[in-house]
Amino acid sequence: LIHFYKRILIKMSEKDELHNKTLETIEHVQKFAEIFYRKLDEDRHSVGNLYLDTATLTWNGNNLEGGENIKSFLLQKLPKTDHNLLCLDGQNLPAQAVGEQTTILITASGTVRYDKKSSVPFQQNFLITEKDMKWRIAVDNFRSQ
Amino acid sequence: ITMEATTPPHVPVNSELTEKIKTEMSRRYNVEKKALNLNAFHKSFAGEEMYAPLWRSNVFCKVVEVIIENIPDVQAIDLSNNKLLNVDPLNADFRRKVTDLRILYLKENRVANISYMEKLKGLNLTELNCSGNPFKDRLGSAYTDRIRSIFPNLQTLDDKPMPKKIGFDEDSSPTSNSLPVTQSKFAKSSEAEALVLQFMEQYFKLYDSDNRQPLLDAYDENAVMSMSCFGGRDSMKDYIEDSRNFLKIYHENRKVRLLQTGRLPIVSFLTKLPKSTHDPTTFTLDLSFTSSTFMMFTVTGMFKEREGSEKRVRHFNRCFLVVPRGSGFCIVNETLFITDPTSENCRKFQTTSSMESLKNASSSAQQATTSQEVDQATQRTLATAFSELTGMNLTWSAQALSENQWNYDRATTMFQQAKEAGKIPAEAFVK
Repeated sequence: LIHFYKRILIKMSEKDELHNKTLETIEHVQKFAEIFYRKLDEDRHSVGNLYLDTATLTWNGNNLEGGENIKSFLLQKLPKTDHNLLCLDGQNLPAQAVGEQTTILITASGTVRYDKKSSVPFQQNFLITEKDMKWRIAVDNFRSQ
Repeated sequence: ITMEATTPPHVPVNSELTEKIKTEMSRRYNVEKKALNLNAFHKSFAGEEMYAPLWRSNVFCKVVEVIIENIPDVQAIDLSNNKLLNVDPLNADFRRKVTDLRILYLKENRVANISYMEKLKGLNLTELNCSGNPFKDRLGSAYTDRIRSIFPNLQTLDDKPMPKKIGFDEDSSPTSNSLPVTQSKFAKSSEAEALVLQFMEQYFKLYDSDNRQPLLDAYDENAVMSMSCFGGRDSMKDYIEDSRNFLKIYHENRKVRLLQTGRLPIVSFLTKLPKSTHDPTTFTLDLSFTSSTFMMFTVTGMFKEREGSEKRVRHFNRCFLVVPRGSGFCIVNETLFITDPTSENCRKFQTTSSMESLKNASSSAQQATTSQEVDQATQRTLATAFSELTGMNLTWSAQALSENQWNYDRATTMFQQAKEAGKIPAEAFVK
């Protein structure tokens, strides 16, 4: 009987663990989104450093491989932006996919204005992962609606 | 006796002529390359009752109207050999709505003055050809500089690369003109792309049916999935209760609860959402990450609700994270975002359509890999996928693929054509 109760307690603590892990993930997602869009709009030169050297950015189907190409795109091709984030969701990836490399999937949506023209709705999906105790972007997928 | 040419009779463009023009334009439009060939347009009507030469401004205007309405994403237009005196119909309205136009051929026309070309300022061309127009000779050596001042991003002029000019970077900051043209599809690898397209076809077929239960097979036992939405409160009635939008939910525990965990709860949740019909012609696909342990791809597009309180058309963004399972894969993470479509989105929505346009869309990865040899393991994977798609047995599937250099998209097109022509024998489908 003790064995039975032990199993229930373990299951409950597993559930607790999962609950807390999810809460942690949510916090990371919210923080990331706030930092990313603020830098993109107000401090464009610093955004490139949020990406891994091996990161990949797909902008409306156009692919940019590697930190250098991404930085170049962000500084030379992407005009001044003004993002308005309206929706944010995120999930943790399982070990089955990423092993010990903690990785989070983020889906963000909102509207963006380029050079003061009218705003366009967009959706963006990210994979962020930990490197040297900092979150870095591994995959960035942007689509104008 | 003297002769004088009279002005040609004014023939209005009625609905019958409009239909003929549309048909002819559709014949001359290359969907894959987004290129419209209007070279010597009048020749298509030679010897017929209805004559639609492009040099008649009402015909030219009608053609422009058809472009704006049907193919506003056109990237290249050839207007050569049309005796054009000007290109006025390519007006401000045209330039505002047809923003992807990069290539324009105006060879062998009758544009007499560069001021007619100046009216095109704002058209973000990278390639232009004006040879055979009187204004070119008239300008002599000033031609290149004048053209450059109208089209600053031009790279090729009259089939020659634009000569570089040293100048000052007065305003070097990027504008929306420096943004790349939208591509409807990107895939890291074309082999993975074939598998993903097949997966999408099956997934959306099941999702659009009356029973979503079979989707259980698509998910890993421990998969997680969440839905978020944004829109008017009335419009999103069927979704707002379960919308996992961190920016709108106050209680942390609710954010945790709304994560659908495990494939039974996920499919049970999906079954609750309004029944749908997706329109694959509105789809975009980004297969942005592949590795031996997982792939990530995002589909966006539109669907119509077949029931539910509103029966509206919606725009969605769906991100799938899949891991290998058996000879295929299954979903471990999924985010689904739903919102109202823009009026532009709505224009493109159709009710019956197939995945053909997405399959045939050129992907930047394809151009690099077409000449590579396809290894045996990949051949087997492609043959299996093709067999499931067409219903043919593995031998015939492999043969069909082999005949098309293992180009999955081409083999699919060839198969459709052969099937419609009744050229495929019954034995091909015997397993």
